[in-house]
Amino acid sequence: MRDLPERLEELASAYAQLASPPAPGELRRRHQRRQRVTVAAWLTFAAVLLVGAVVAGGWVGAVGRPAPGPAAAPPSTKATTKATTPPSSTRPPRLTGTVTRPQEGYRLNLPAGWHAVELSDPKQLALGYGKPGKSAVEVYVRTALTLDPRLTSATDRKAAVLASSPWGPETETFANKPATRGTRPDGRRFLTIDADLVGGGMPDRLYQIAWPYHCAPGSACPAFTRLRVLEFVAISSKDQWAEVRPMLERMVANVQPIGNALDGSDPTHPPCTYGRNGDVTNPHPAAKATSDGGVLLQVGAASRAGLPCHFHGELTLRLVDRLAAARTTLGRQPPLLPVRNNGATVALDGDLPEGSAGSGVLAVVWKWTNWCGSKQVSAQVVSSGGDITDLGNGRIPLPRCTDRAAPSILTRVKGPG
Amino acid sequence: MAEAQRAATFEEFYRACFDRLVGQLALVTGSMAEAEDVVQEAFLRAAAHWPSLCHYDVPEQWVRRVALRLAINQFRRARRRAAALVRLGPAPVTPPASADALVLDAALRTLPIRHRQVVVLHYLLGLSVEEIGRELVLPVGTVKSQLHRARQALARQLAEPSLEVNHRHA
Repeated sequence: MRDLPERLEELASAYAQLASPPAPGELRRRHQRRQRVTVAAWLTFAAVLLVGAVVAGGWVGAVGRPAPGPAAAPPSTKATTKATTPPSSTRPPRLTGTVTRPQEGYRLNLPAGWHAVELSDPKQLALGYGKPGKSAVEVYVRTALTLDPRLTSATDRKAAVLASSPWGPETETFANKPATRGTRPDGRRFLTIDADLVGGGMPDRLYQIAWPYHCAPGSACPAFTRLRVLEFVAISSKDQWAEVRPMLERMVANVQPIGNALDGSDPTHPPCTYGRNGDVTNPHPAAKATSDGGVLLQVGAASRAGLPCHFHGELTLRLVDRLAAARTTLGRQPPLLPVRNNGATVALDGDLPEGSAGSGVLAVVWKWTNWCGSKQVSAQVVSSGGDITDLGNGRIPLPRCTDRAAPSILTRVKGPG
Repeated sequence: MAEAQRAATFEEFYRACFDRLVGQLALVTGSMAEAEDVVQEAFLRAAAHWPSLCHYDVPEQWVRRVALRLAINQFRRARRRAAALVRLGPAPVTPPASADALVLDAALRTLPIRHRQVVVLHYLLGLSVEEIGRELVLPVGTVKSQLHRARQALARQLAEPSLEVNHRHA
């Protein structure tokens, strides 16, 4: 057994590898956002005090009660709310009936009165019961990863090198909690854990069902996929718990495995999600100097965790001044550097196969030549969804300056036409 | 030091230390996202103090100390909020580590955050109990007892009564 410092070192290095420092400009933007939020909070507080004073009549009484009519508008907070990100006005649709989640490998028949809402995290689904917006129970359905010996075999746990698992370990919270064990009619084991997530005597419960991901025969499939579980996390009001619990338990017993949750099935290719926590990210190496003084920039989508998915989207390569990018305020784009084809967009469409991280790559390669300008350059990839990735973690090699009179050029050298 | 040069050295410092500090703080907070958050916040404060910090021998130590304190505050805030908010957020990021290391990760998360801090400072960063006391503003006796309890708890969690801990001394 290795000693504690060595094991801590491995763990800290593993986390450090995952860390991605935001661009220094992001620190500044964060500071600015916080200032705006503080100002907005104070203005709101002041507005509430003002409205409170008006309602109480103390202040109004001194100047005379206004004539009956529409209530006066509260003080405008336009200037501050404009500065912060406005909440999205489009609500995700409420789903009823049967919900199918191919990447998570389940099909769920929602009982009458239940609805589901898609969340921004593609691995989670929120369920509610009763009138939308007034549900006294919240249920989150998601896939996760567990090292809990009650649901996984020692062999699988031993074999699992959990590199870039998209599910994340759940052991930190629940493996040591007492649980009621059960077996579904299809033989899948499950645990019922009173998780005490909320405290204060509010009923909350976690159901974990062994939901191993089955890889296609012959694929280089990561071993951690066998540690997948399907979770139902429920939080309810005390009044409704007795009513919703049996329905919830029926859902846990009846949720159907599909696609990758079944042995021998062909992997499906649901749409890939791009970005830091998504299925795909920009491939490595992102930037590489060539012997003739040029620089190759790779732009595309590479599978992060070996789960098959279909990528369809546009990616724009932007060469910008790094310091200008750092100074750019949120929601704006820094100006492009004077490079021919800078800001070009490529459309990519294709399946990323099952396999280990990085096994599936869909990319174009640009060659950048003859740069005689500033050395502070960032190469950003902007996805059609708005995610921005700094190639090379913000630092890329620069092309050699071969001719000051000639233009700097980006030329596509490889990739889908 | 000229303004531009100072900004450049801060950026260099930031890029050199960010990942390492996140790795250390992730063990303390038990959450990658929270670790990134407190380290970012600490760097934000370091940026404001950089004209004086840049003359320090080890400015990273200053940032780590701020991040460790923020982690405690963060922890208190998080605990006050419904724990469900933490639980129901996006799935935690899995480090690319062996299952063996993740068992230790899970065991660490069962310790109180103060115990995690002393374990990380002592066994990962090699600080003596006196240095930890100065870092966390705690009496040496408290540090010793916290280390002792943390070690016992880890040994229990890992079901290894003979957990090799190889004491480090400054």
